[in-house]
Amino acid sequence: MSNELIEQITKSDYKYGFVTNIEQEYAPKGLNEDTVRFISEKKNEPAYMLEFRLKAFRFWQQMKHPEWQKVNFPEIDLQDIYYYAAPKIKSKPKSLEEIDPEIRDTYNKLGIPLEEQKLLAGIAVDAVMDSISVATTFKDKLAEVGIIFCSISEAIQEYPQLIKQYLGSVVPYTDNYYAALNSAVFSDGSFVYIPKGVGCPMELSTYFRINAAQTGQFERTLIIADEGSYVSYLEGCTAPMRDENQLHAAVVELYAHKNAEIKYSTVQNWYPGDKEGKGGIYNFVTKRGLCAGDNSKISWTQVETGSAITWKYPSCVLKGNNSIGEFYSVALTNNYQQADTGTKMIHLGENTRSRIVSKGISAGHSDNSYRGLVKVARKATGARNYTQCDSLLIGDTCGAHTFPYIEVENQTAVVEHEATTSKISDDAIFYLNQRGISTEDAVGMIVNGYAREVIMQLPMEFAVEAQKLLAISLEGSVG
Amino acid sequence: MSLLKINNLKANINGTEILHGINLEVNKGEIHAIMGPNGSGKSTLASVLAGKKEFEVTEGSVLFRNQNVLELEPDERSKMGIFLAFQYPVEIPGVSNMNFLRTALNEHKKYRGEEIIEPGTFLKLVREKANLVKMDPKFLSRAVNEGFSGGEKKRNEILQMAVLEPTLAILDETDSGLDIDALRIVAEGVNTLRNSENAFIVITHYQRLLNYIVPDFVHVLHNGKIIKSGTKDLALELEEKGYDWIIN
Amino acid sequence: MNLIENIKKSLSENILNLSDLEQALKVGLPNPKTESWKYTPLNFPISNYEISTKEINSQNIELFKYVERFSKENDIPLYLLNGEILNVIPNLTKTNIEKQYNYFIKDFFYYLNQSTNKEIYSFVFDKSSENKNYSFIVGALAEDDNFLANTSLSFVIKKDTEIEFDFYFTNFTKKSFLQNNYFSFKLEENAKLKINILEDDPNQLNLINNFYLDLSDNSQLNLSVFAIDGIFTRNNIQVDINGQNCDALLNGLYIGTKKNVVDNHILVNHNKPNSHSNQFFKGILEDKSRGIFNGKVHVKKDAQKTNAYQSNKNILTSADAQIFTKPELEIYADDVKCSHGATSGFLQENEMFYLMTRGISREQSKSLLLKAFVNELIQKIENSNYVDWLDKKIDNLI
Repeated sequence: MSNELIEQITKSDYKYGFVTNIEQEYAPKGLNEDTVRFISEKKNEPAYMLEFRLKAFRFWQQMKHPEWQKVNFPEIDLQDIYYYAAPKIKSKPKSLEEIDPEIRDTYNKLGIPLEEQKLLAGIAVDAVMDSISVATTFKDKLAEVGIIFCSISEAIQEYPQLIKQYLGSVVPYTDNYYAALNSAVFSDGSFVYIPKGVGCPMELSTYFRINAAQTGQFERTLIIADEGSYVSYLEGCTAPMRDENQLHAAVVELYAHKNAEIKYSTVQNWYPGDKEGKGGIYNFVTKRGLCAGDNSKISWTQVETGSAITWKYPSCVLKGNNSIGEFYSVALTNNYQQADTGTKMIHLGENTRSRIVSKGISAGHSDNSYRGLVKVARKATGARNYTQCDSLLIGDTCGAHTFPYIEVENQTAVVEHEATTSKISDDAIFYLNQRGISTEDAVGMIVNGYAREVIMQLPMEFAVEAQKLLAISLEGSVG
Repeated sequence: MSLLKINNLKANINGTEILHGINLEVNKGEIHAIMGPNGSGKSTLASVLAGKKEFEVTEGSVLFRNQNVLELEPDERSKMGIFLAFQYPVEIPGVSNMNFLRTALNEHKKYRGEEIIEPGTFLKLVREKANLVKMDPKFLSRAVNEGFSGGEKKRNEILQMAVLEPTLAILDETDSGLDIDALRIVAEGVNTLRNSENAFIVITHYQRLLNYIVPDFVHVLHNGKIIKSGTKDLALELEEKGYDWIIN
Repeated sequence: MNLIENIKKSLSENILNLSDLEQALKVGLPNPKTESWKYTPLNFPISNYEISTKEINSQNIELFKYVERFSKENDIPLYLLNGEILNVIPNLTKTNIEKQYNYFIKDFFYYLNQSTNKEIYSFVFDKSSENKNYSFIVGALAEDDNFLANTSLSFVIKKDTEIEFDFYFTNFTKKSFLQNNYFSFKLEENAKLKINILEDDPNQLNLINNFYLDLSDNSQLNLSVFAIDGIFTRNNIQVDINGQNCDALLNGLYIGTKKNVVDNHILVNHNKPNSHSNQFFKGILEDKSRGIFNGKVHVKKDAQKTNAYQSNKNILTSADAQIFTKPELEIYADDVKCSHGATSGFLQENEMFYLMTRGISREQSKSLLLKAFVNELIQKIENSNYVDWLDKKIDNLI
């Protein structure tokens, strides 16, 4: 491809970069035990939660920042950010009509109307701005079948039994640096409980928005699917354009009991920074699902186009016999974005199966790495894994890397890994040009074709959004 | 009326001149066959007309509907009505034939200031056209050319031609690798689309195709130049005597 | 560390690079936190090793067998025993140590090797050296237990020269022996080099083998490594493609038995455009053995039109065997074709069943299928003596 063309393609604009002007309430800047206490107190948490947070905080203080990742960034001054920022609300709105019009307007601009009647049929939304959940829709309807869908703060108050049992059961605070930090300072997030035998009648969704400046967002999501239940959960993310880097260190825990299935989809479009690599979100997230019961299934699908740095490995621990883990990912990096992402499939139970499909797209001066682990433990007789890992490069100033770790300790395991690297061929562009399709559209079309296998895993509305996002992220001129 | 006028066209690739001054005029309603031995520049000519960037035009002009197209991008030429049926159609994984064709058709429609076509209407249209080239509609939902056999790819080219309805279609060795049945289907497609407002340039190595698509003119390309022109009888003569008698 | 002290004690200062020894101590032994040693335990008591100062016993019967094998016309064997060269062959010169060492990873073993090699031997092969059978027999003849040998050699293959080397790594005694070897090869323009590396020895061989190969324009490398037996085997093979239109084929077969550890670390750097590389490695892990494969392809920004392939296939035949494989790609150029694949599996029951219904015993069926698995690699060797020998070895093992 010619250089001008690559330049054109890799010049993109971020459409969600506006700031909402609302009054915010902050915790004092910086991090110490008082910050942790402040957050807990602000949220009026029971004693057990404060204890959980303090234990995590003290553990975190002993930890060192990891160094093995293939992403570069200056040391983050964790004392220079706000750990709690919340849109000032006098009291929690009792109905959706009571939500601050500014906030409602923000979500409308993002294409996420909070009024139930306007919602796309069949999707319940929990909207999280900065540190708190501002609205959850369709709660009552879901409650009819026994499903709990609320903010995690609410769950801490209302369902302490479930929280005590499950919070930290999949990702303990000892897991890693950012998981420990999150456990200490998390402010809000979503909570889902699907009771035995219930198939959730609609898609559940959380929309995360960082609004305040110099703020870290540390949300915590916990999804529990009890025996024989099913849920499909969607997550979307955006943030304003700011020159500074903002930290987003979330923890997501999925817990699937016997015969349960959880499908978790992410369309991540945090602000990626400008064309010179200034600003953008550091997206350091720990996501893990535990297939605890036999025949359970957890499936991760992610389309990642945003963030200055994406550093995460949504994983499955396949403990139950015959359990299934899946990971479908498209990670697109442009300009100076960096991504080090992939998955871990830990086979512990018998006849466990996993499938990994990863599609990386690098453009501009970006670096895009797939890092994955497939581990078959000694007792995981009959385990199967298939991994397909492709990279697409646009231009010669970017990089694409593959680091698959395969550890097999059981002789009956069958593990297969395949990877390819390719570019967008001039011939394919010429072919589409010859049929009257402009080069920009041709690139969008080829990239979407390349990512199709993953996008098809997304629920319909998200798939359409993801396709647009991929095209926009590589777009030359602002449309 | 003149549709295409090529005047002293010279082009090279990586510094090697392939076309040494081509002159050719094509009028509406005509079918021109371009024949010639391997390496004579036939496919280069097709690529240059469609605007492939690897080739550098050093001299001459190409007027299409009285407009010099050499400065235009390939997609602009396409929308003006130039269609190239590729000798080696490209496989594009994950992009469905249907989506691809509808996008292409809508680009053409936008260019002409027409309403874009609705998916339902398009489906009907494309099924109709697929029938013309005896193509199984299931190919429409498959990725562009991916895993298609040689013959299926060529039929797909003709299907695209039928949908886009170009004013000038260049068929670059569309007959190569086709069995006799496929050849007949392709030729029937071309003959159905043929009318007084459009024209075809049929590039071929063998006379065989010309039994089905009967040309008004036959040109022999050798060493980047048209060295002989005639009527369809010239093709028969070439079949019988080979190229040597003209070249020497 | 005892090892360092032992070396200091046994060697006089004029043949010892003290600073390197200090450096080795400073760097320390690799441990599981070292990424490139994450899965590779040093399963022998390295710190108790020492350098032998006793005279070589050339009456050894095993050595005799080798001498007999390589006594045909055109055979040119070179014996490297206890880290010393025993005989003289043509093309031999001594060279400056610096040149040889620059390329290698500066870890504990590197400094250890350098500490006892003030000068190293260098070989230059040109057109006149063609059509001979060069064999390098690297082994031990000491009567001491826990004994270390640091070997280091450098090779230059001149322009347009085509040559083949066979390397044998072995132990002529029943004593525990650690070889710490560094070999570098420079292929000049249009040179063709074929290397067969046979690492085998049931007699307590611990082996750390470093091969560095530098390829100039239009040169071709065909390297096969067979790690068949040995308590501990670590191969570091690095190929730098510093010219255009090069071809680098790297084949490997490893068989782990007992509690052995066998590790292949391969790095191919494509620094220039238009070259091709292929890594093809297969492993069979039996008993309580552990296999490690780490293949890496690094394509630099300017190395457009690179074709690089990598494949690693493994079979585990026992409940206690393990394989850790990591086929990596690092790519900075867009117009390249790279792919890799890794598999781990076991013998297919349906294939076994089919053979058994034809009256073949379970054991025999297993052996037939494993032979089929490895044959693909053995077929790549042209030297028929070598193949026969290898065949027998493998038969004994599986």
